[in-house]
Formats: sequence, structure tokens, C-alpha cells
Amino acid sequence: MRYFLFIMLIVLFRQPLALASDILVFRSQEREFSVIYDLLKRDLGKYSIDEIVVNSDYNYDKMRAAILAERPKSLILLDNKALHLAKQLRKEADTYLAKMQGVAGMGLNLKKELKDDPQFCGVAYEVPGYTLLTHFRKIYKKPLENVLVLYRKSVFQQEIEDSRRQLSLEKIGLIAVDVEAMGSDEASLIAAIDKGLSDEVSGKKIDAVWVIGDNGLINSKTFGNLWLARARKFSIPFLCGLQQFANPKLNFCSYAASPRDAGIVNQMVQMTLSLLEDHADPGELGVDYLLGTDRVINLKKIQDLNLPVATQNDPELKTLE
Amino acid sequence: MKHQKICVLSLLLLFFSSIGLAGKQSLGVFLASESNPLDVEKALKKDKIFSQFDITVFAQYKDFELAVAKVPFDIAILPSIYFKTSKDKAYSPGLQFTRKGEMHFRYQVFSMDKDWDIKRLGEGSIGFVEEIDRQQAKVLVKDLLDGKEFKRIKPVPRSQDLYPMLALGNSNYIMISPWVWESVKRDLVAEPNKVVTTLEIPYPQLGYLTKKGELAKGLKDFLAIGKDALEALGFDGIKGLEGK
Repeated sequence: MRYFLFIMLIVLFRQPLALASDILVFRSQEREFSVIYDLLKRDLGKYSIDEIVVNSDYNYDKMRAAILAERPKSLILLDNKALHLAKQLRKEADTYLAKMQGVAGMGLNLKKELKDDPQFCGVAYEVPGYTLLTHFRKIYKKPLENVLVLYRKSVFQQEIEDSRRQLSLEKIGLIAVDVEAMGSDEASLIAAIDKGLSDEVSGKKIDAVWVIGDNGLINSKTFGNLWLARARKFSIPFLCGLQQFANPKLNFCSYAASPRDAGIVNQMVQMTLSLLEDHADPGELGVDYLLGTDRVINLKKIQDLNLPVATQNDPELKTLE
Repeated sequence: MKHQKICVLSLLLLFFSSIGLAGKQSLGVFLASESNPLDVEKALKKDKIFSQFDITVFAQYKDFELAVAKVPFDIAILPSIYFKTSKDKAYSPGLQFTRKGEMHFRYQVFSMDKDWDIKRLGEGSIGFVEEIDRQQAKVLVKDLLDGKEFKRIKPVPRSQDLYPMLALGNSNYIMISPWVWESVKRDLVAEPNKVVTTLEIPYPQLGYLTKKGELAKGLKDFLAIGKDALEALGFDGIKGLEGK
């Protein structure tokens, strides 16, 4: 009987230790998030790490309960829903919850979402203009002096300002057109896209168009009539941060650079280690731009446009045929 | 009887494979460069010295560490700082690679903004290619900067990601090897500021598993490595360690 009680005591005391994780990952249920979780688990190997899938039913109370059950030292938040729920922790009276820190990734517009945020830092998911255009320039045999981009100032102001400055040092001029200048309602946006999507702006010939994957600009109302039609009309390449837009069957973009999984994971791992081991302030770490990309070229489109390229200049470039 | 013979033969084969007599010795290579590891592997396999080894080339430090944790390589080509800082000293250096007769090099530290100069190093973050454990890297970077403090290290796994760290504003400074910088410069129009060069450090080295000390005797064979293999690794010479 004494032995039985002794064993029960051991089991009871061990229970919370078995549940506790150093790092708790909240992620969306789609497959790409599961892939990222597996890489995070591998690269953060010396820490115990667990995941919670955030589906449409998931709410703050469930998140709160999960964190209190596992008592992690840090969170990783994949996707905007997980981040929005986690931001509510700061209102808690419980200090442990209120001061919870973490790293966000694979979310839209994190530069804006986490601007001056004291609790969470992150890695932006959008491919920066600097990365897309300097990679393309490596293989493009024509000058890349004026690049057009249409954007919504309310969403991407900082990214465009940063891109303009970064590209100017590379002598690539970014002609950025704010499509909300005449109004942010649907009709005004459509009119602005129609007017702005041109191969010549203020007397300057445009060498390429940077297509931002913003569903406020690219949607069922604008894609066919405007974006696709202009990409098929102009003799210049359309460049984008989404691989599917460069699919030859679509006949839209000539080239794409998309986020590389291992790259995002590495950046999130390093930020997590900075929080856990260096006791860094998330507010000081801020949101970094994405570094690693996978590049693809739509060779059929390039050939149809008669554009000279030297694909051997980027050994990692994949050809879509 | 036939089954017994097959059993005995299988056991013998299993036994000899497990003690390494059935196969070649292994060589692991990790160098932070922009070369494609498969291209490097192909070039090494054509060399009469290297072709005697099972060769694996790694592009990233953590991949090398994961592989070594499972089954260590008999011989390894690694950054010199790896031999110097690794806690368990699993590998000992044996030979020194050279460039233009030189055994040492200095990292260069750059910033994008002239305001981030040597005086502000203590406030800034410094990016570099991950070649050793993170905690050891903090000590090493400080040593290489001759004791100067900096706020934060930001390792990247690939040399291709280092300059973009600076250009995108993810770090205030980067510490970059001269051969990676030569490669980066070719595609650059921008002119980043050279802030400082570090203290000298030996070029990568060829080493052996410390617990198999007898491997050191065979290292002199590597002095006959061919020009093409050296070039694939990014060097033009190989000699004994300094003072040996």
C-alpha cells in the first residue's frame, strides 16, 4: 500500500512537468503552417516545444487556458488570428500572462500590426521590393531604372518608403502610386488602378512592374480586366512575391520571389533565442524583413516578351515551363 | 547448411560494416561560402585524394552539427573558429588552407548608414554567418573586435543572406569574410561604409576526429590535393599548421 501511494505521488508531481513547454506555438491549421512548425521544432531542439492549432472556433479563453496549463516561457504565433488573440494577454491582471512575450510570423502586414509593440516581435511575410528587384536584376540584361508599384498607403506605407530608400541606393527608381489618393472605396480604387497601371509615368518609361499581393488591389473585380490585361499588353515584365502569379498557364507575371520556409524559420528561431537567452526586448527587436526567398522564372512569358535574361546568374533560380 | 552459411556471411558483413572496414573513411565539409554544396561535392569526388572518402558537403552550420551528432566524420574541413571554440573539441586541426600564400584573414565590418560608425557599435546589432554555436559566437565576435562591445548578434545560416540583412535594415552592421564580400560586391551598386576590420584569424582548416588520433598521421596525404579541388573549396594552397 505504501509503495502504491509512493508511486501515485511521483506520478502526480510529474504530471505538470510533463505538460510544461518552454515554447508554445499557436498556428493556423493549413498544411504550410504544419511544415513550419516541424522546422521550428527541429531548430529549437534544445527547448521543449508544443503546438496548438487555431481553427475558426478558437477564441481567447481557449488560448488563455492553454498558456496557463503549459506555462511556456515564450510564444510563437503563426498567422494573424493567433497574433490578434495573443495581443489580448496584455490586458490581464495576472503578471505572467500580461508580460508574455513572443515572436510572430507568417502573418500579413506585421510591420504595421506590431509597430511599437512591447510584447511581440516578428518577421514580415511579404517579400520586400529590394529583394525581389535586386534578385531579378541579376538575371535581367536590360536596365532596371524605373519600376512601378501600385499600393494602398493605409496598408503598406512603411514598406514602400523603406523600399524606395533601399532601392535608391541601388540606383533603382521606385515610382510608387498610392491608389487611395482619390478615395478608398471600391470604385475609386478600381479607377486609380486603371489610371495608374501604365508603362509610362510622367514621361518616364517604366522598365518593370512590381505587383504587391494585396487583395484590396488584386481581386475578382480587378484581376482580369486590369492586371492581366495590362500584363498581356505591355512589353515589360511584371514581378511579384507570389509564386502562383508566375505560373505560365496564367500568363501574368514573368518572375516571382516567394518566402523560403527554412529562411523564415531561421529568423523566427533567432528572435526566440534572443528573447529566451539574451533577454532582449521585443519592442527593440521589432519586425525584420524576410531574408530567404525561392525564385522562379516564367520562361514562356519572358520569351513571348522577347526579354533578354541570363538565368545562370542565379544558380537557385527555378524555371517554370 | 546453405541457410547457415548465408546467416554467417550476413553477420560478418554487418560486423565489418559497423566497424568501418567494409567502407571508406568519411569526410564532412562545412564552409560558409556561396558555392552550391552539390557542386563542391562533385568537384571533390574527382580529386584523387578526396575520392578515397565518402564526402558530404554542408551549406549550413546546424546541418553539419546534426549530422555529426549522429555519426561523426573521420575527417572534417571546417572554419578555424570551429576548432578553436567547440566545447567538446571533437575535432583537432591538422592542416591549414591558404589563399595567395596567406594563412590568415580578417573579417570586415560594414554599415549602411554613416551614422552607424565604430563609436556606436555598442548600441547596434551585428549580423554574421553562423559558423559556431550562438553563445560561443558572442564571445568570439567580441574577441575579433578586440574587446569592443556590441548590443546584439544576429546570425544568418547562409552567406547569401548576410548583405541583405544590412541592406534591409535588419541589422546595423554585418561582419563579412573577404571572399564572400568579393562575391557580393559584384552585384552591388550601393556603397556601404567600411567600419573596421577585425583581428586576424586563420583560414579554414582540415582536421580529424580527436578520439581517433591515429588519423592525424594520414593527413599529410592531403598536401597533394589537386588545384581543382582546392579551387572548389575556395583556396589555392594547403600546408601544415603555423609553426608545424
